[in-house]
Amino acid sequence: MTDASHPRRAPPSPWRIVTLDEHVRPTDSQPAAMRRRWRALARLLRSEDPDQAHARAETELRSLPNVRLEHLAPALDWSAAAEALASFLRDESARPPDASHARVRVLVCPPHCAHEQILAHWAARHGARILDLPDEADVLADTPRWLESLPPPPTDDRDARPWVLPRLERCFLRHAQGLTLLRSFLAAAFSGRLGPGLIGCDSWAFAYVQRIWPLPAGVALTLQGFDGSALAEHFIRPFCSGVHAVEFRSARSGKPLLPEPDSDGEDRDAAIAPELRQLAAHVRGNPGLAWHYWRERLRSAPQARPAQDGESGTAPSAADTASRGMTLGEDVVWLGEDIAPPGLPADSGDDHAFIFHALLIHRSLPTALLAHLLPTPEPRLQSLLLRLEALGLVARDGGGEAERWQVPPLAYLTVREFLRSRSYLTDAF
Amino acid sequence: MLEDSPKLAGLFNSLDRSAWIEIAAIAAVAVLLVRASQRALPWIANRLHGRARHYLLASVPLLRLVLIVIASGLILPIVIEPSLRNMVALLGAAGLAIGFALKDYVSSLIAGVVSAFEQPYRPGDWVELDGHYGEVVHVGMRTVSLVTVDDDTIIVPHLKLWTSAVRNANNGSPVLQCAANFLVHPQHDARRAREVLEDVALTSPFLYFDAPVVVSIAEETWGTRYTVRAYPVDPRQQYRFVSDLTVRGREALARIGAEALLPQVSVLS
Repeated sequence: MTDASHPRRAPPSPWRIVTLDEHVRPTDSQPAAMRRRWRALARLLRSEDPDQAHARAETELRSLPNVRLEHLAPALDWSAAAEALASFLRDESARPPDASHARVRVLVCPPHCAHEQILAHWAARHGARILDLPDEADVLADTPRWLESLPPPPTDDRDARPWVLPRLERCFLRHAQGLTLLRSFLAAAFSGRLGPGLIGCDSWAFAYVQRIWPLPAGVALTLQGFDGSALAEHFIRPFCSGVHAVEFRSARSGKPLLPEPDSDGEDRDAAIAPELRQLAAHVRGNPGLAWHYWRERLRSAPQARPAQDGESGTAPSAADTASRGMTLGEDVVWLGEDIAPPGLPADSGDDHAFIFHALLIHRSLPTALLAHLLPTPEPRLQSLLLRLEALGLVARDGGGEAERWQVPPLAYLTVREFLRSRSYLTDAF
Repeated sequence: MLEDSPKLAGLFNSLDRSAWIEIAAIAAVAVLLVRASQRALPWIANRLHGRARHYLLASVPLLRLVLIVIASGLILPIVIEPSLRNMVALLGAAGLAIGFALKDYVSSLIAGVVSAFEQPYRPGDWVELDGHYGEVVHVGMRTVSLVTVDDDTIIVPHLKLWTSAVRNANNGSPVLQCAANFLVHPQHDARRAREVLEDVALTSPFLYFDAPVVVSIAEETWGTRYTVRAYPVDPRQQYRFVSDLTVRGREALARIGAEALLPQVSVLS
């Protein structure tokens, strides 16, 4: 994706749709766990914190005000992902038909990547019908009433409007009665009876569905993982030019997070700040998750005072600044230290794992339904949910009767690792 | 016999103070390392799950054997001149004493060494030994300790290895198969019953997905027996898993009109 009219080669769009096999998870040359162990060892041996200078500077920094945060880290624009999806499907339809052509595709996204929004944008742009989701009674019903309510199959392929089912995870429940509708729908969709369509599915639900009704090979698409370079382009580049340009710097090293404008290609990748590479690896390339971490880590220094010496040129590091009693202006935004993940309860056991797993597979669930799916008695379940909420491991979504529990973004990686270490079924991302 | 005594005594080196100190130091370090490994490895293992826990637990008896062999290898040349003649004489005398006085005890010790190599059971395995079923929590030099589901600790000498069968439910693997039985009146839709029971297993929160779910059917004189075979994510969940399958399986069968039966005791016997 290059723009010939631009004086310098524009970086490729970070939004790319690929098949599941092509998905690449960014890695970090120095994994975060190893780094943490090294710091602990250094503290033990030298009786001092190797990041002490940085830690002092960090205390000088403060969270961004909400207005400024909304400006510098606005909600992700999923229409760009929808455009990438449209581009993928366009390219595919332009190729001569082969066995890999599928009339129904599944867009699989990891948690907090809003596949339903991507598909809503795509549907609005392409005039596709968005199918209503079944409610819980439909899912648990013996007769597939919801299926019968779907629009009739197209009589002519040329007039066939594609359909979109934005959330497959709402079409089943992990219950002995909760799989019939899913199987019937997938059989109808992939036999071609419903015409061309797109299905959105959370990656955890997809992992489960693959064990219930394995989908044909090659039908699943996903967002390519965001590496450090993609994060820089998406989170930093838009704010680096213009009258109100902002400079993003690492609070740890004091160095700018964005590579120099004249670096190119491999140089540009190599110049990406380690903090961004580490963030990309930490969130496993998940842009939605990266955005939450990014917002949490942005910091600003107190208001600038006029410089007391004549030094200029390279910006001072946070540590230098703090040690000399200087403050920095608001045109510099600092990326603070990693966020401490919420801790698991010391007595974490099967019941905790069941709650997390059910919430991730269904994306979110109300208490009553959770009690219906799990062997844990409802009073104990309510108590566990409140304890987990206090620890930041689950959160409420919605209110009143629509209230549902879900795993919040900053707890997701902790919960995922907890389930993986106990051999529970996990997603592929 | 009396005139052989000086010859037997001649097998041994004369041990001075430094030799005794050396032997004591080797023995103390070996005991310390054995004790430390027996405490530290299970402590760490019980904070892990799945394969890591299982393999770490299984390494405890093997590590202890290695430490004992190394310590013996270091002490023996200090005590005797390790020539063939000396070794034959020493082992002969030891064999005689063991044969008369400590036969069963030594047999258990030897079975303990065999168990460390053949591994018919390892810590973390679920085994049936001498009529007791439980999780192996410790494999000692002479005995193996099981903890049953009733939280009883059963100590069985390794000696049983020579004469009894060992039933090992997971045999070194971190997963084991569980079976839930359903006894149903013969007049029902068997195809539908098999499907719903498979869904019961697939929707259990305990299920380990990388192992198969199998529903088998057998016609008995009193009705139809369904057996759901599946694997929980952790062997320690086996009883909760079977209970979960039973509760939800009965509900599912009742929903499709398959009437539950209790087999007549006289018929079964």
